[in-house]
Amino acid sequence: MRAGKIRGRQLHLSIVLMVCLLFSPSAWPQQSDSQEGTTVGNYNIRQSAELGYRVLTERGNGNVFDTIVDEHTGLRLLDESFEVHSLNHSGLFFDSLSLSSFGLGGEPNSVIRLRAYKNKVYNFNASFRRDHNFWDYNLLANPLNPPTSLPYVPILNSPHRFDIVRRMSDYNLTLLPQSRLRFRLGYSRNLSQGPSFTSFHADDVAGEETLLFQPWRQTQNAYQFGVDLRVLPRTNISYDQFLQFTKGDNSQVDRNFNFQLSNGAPVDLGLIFNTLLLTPCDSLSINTAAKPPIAAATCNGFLAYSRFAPMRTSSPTEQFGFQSNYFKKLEMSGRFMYSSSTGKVPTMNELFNGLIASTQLRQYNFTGSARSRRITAAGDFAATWSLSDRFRITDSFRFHAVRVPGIENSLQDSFFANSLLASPIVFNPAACPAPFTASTCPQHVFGSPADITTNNSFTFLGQEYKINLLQLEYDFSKHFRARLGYRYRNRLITQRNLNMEGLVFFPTVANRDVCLLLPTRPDGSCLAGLLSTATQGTEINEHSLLLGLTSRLLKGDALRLSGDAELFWADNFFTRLNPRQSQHYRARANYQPTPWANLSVAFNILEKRNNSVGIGFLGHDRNFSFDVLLSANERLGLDLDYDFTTVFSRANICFATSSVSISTPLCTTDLALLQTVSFYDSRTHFGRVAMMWKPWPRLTTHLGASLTSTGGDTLFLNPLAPTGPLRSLYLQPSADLDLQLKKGLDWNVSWGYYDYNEHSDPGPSLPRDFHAHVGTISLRYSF
Amino acid sequence: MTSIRPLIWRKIAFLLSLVCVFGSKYICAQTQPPAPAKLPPGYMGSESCKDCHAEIYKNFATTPHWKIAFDKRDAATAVGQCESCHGPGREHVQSGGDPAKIFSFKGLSTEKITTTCLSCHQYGEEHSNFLRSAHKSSDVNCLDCHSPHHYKESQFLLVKAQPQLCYGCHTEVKPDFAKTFHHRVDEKLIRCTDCHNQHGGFANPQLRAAANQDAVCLKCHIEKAGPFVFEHAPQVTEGCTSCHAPHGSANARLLKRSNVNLLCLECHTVTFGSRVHDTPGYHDQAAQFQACTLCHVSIHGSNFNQFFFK
Repeated sequence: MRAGKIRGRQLHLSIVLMVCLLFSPSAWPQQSDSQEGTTVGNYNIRQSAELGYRVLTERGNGNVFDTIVDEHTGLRLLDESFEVHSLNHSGLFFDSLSLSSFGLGGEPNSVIRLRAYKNKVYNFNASFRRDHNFWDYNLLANPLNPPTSLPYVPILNSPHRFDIVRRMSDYNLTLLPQSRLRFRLGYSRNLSQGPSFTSFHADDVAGEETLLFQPWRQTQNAYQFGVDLRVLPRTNISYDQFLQFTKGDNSQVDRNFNFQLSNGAPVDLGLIFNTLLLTPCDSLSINTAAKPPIAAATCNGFLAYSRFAPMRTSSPTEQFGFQSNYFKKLEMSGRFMYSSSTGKVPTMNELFNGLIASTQLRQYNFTGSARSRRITAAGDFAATWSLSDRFRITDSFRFHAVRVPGIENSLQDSFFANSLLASPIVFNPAACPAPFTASTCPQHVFGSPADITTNNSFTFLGQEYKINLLQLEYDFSKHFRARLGYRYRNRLITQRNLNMEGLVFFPTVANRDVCLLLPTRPDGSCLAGLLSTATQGTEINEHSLLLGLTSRLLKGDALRLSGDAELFWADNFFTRLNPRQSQHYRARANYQPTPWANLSVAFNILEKRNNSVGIGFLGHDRNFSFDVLLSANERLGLDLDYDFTTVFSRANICFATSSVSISTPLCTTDLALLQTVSFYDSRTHFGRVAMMWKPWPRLTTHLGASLTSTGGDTLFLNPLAPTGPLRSLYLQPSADLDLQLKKGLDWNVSWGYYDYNEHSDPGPSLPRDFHAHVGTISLRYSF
Repeated sequence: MTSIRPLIWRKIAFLLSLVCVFGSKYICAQTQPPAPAKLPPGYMGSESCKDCHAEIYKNFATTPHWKIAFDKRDAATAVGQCESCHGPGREHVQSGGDPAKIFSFKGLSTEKITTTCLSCHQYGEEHSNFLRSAHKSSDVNCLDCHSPHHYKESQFLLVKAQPQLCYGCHTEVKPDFAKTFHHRVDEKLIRCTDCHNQHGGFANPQLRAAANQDAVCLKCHIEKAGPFVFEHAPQVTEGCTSCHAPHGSANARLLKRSNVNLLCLECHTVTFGSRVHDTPGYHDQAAQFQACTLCHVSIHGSNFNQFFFK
């Protein structure tokens, strides 16, 4: 394998060298001026291509490097462009065509864009984007298995890692773009697929968690047809029809059998290893001397698991819009749309075969179907009335209503036994006679769930809001303007749930759970029904006062200032972190004393709070940044950036923990929990310097570096949790050299370094730091 | 038996020739700039501009604005090209190029620049709300981002390519895209304008929407769109930004907290007026329960489990 890789690299290098020789100045006749392109008949053609080779060396956590950077060694078509313009604008199929791409050949991001138009006939845009998403940041969804467990099984990869490629295509065609009647056609496709992993919790109450392999496949096709009509002078109306079809074909299966039973049967003991808490069982029940280790049959474990629930969604949307400034000094626009999405899961099939020891659940089959809808109606109307050249009144009104009703029907057959080696027992009245204690009866315990569960759920979530923004704008002069506004929003959120369960409890212990005090039938079984309903409504009235000032000062508008403030308050909240009061201040200044110097400063401060009883939410996002750009001439340039961001949040929370401090008070709303103040305080410094230097006309160099330093603190409820990204440093220096071999032929060599460090103990997993060099050599030919 | 393939090709060739014969006359005739029969008073015609502004004139021909030559909406645009925007040029030419004698966009107010450009570009959803946009309210006019003559990016005639164009003012956003976990804007996979409508829209803050008017995030993240039987309500009511920082974050999955359990507990704590589920007493945060999404996997919505287990 290694020899093969080396031969592959040699082949790639050979190809690059051959290409370089091919492109050497002596190998080609004189070309036309590469900036002007080539004239062929009625067309001017300009092309360029950059072919290169990347080399990567890395050390540290390669998976985290692939998650964040994802560069690899190999040949690349780094960049390509192709432009054709008709000289007399009388091209047969197009007047102008432009095709460009970058990242082909193995980059994590590849994009191809095509544009073409022919005057009065059509405008066409298309793009294809391919992005590779490798994701394995090992702290996410990591149970942080304790080292005190025996065996100690640290989770070294994220249980939710994936290696997915997404391909997105967008095509847009406008026919008769300059006529009174225009047509628009669009098509988009989004395909996302690849291997991934997920986790699963096997029982609603007392289950095991395991790792599942999940082949990922999601597809969406969206179509658009639109018409624009200019019916009156300066008035346009439009109609659009959207059709969107989505297919979700993910499946899940357990392939994580790292242990075996005494009879050699492979078994998956799950992700959680905390033998002090008897998860998956006590330490004496696992014999680590054997390979693979042998687990006792009474351990929690999976012998098999699979699930497949393909989802199909269709979303037709109709949209009508208009825009008009038919009336002098009054400009209006409006839109009304209606969308009715339907999501269906015709069949859901799930099989669990294993053991949940606390309930002796040995196997279950789950089948079901689901149907949900998302119905959205929205209307917008906005107008700007210019009372004079200096004074304008603007009003925008929006009505938006979304309703999401859903229905789910399912049936779960559960089977019980007391060990992984025992077969699940199907209830048979003949084999389980009174007093219903025979070993041929399903082996329940008091905590066992029902043997048969039928479930019907009816859900509803809806939100309706109306929002109006009234704004006054006044231009005091050409250099100074101000605006004052008021925004009001009324929201009504409704949730309703109705759940009906039919439960059958077979013996043994038929009088368990909700059947505790219910009579049993002659065969020893007990029937029960559960009905639960919940209705919640939340109405929120929100008010905002808005103020803005802008100014252009000095000769040539060299100094530009802008600032705005929003003061917000609400009489209610939906989530605890919804602010009931907030203040948002933003200011920017841009100073360009000379054409070659530009200085920008900005700050952005958001303060928010929700002082409702028991919440105590206080938060802020504060940012300060400045940027200096100096382009003395086309041979020297310097760009300096600095940014400081602080994010702070604090709120009261209630939680449970076995790591109890005597001083932690009980939760006032739930005495079974403890109460404390959750806080998150993050401070990030960002610095970047980039220099361009052209020591002589044919040689251009770039030197630069960026540094993102994050520090902070937060509440750690788990003593094993590392600080992770909360205290980290990400350094990225870079350099490149561009040599013009001849006009239209450039040779480039570049280097980038990626250095990521988390300044903390890695925790019960692998360190996430990485350090990588990426070198690129390329040749760019423009013709 | 005659092979089918040559027959099909003959038919295609015949159809193409019909298109060329009947279509090219229409197409070619329309693409030649019409010669103005008579210029209105004060107008010179674009050929005069070419004598002094040859480079600009030549560059202009490669941009979509040359189509102004065919726009007959009013007398000014009927003369075509340069004078459609810059007004009558006779005095400017006769004075030997006095810049004061021709309409120039330099030094104009945002209002005047905007009105001039929108006289053609206002129609259609893309620009119909520019007068009410955050950019216009902040005194950003068309020529701050676009330049018909001195563009660096040929698509949309931008003075700079994205995202550098946007970073010029939005300096606070640049470091977000340099954070460890970020949307790939600097890598040019995504543009700022894929999510934001820079010309303003009905939604705030100038966000676009997916085809069915869902959050723009769901155009790419299609598996989160649902609809689901059991929705995670804040995703529907508050949006994705209730948990995620969309530009970039030091935290995995662009979350707003480094520890997922805090993000969940800050909402899932019962208090007066809040209507969410509390966490049960056995969710020992000192054990595996600190990884909420290890079990509550389908956190964006589930069709079969109210606790989002599957």
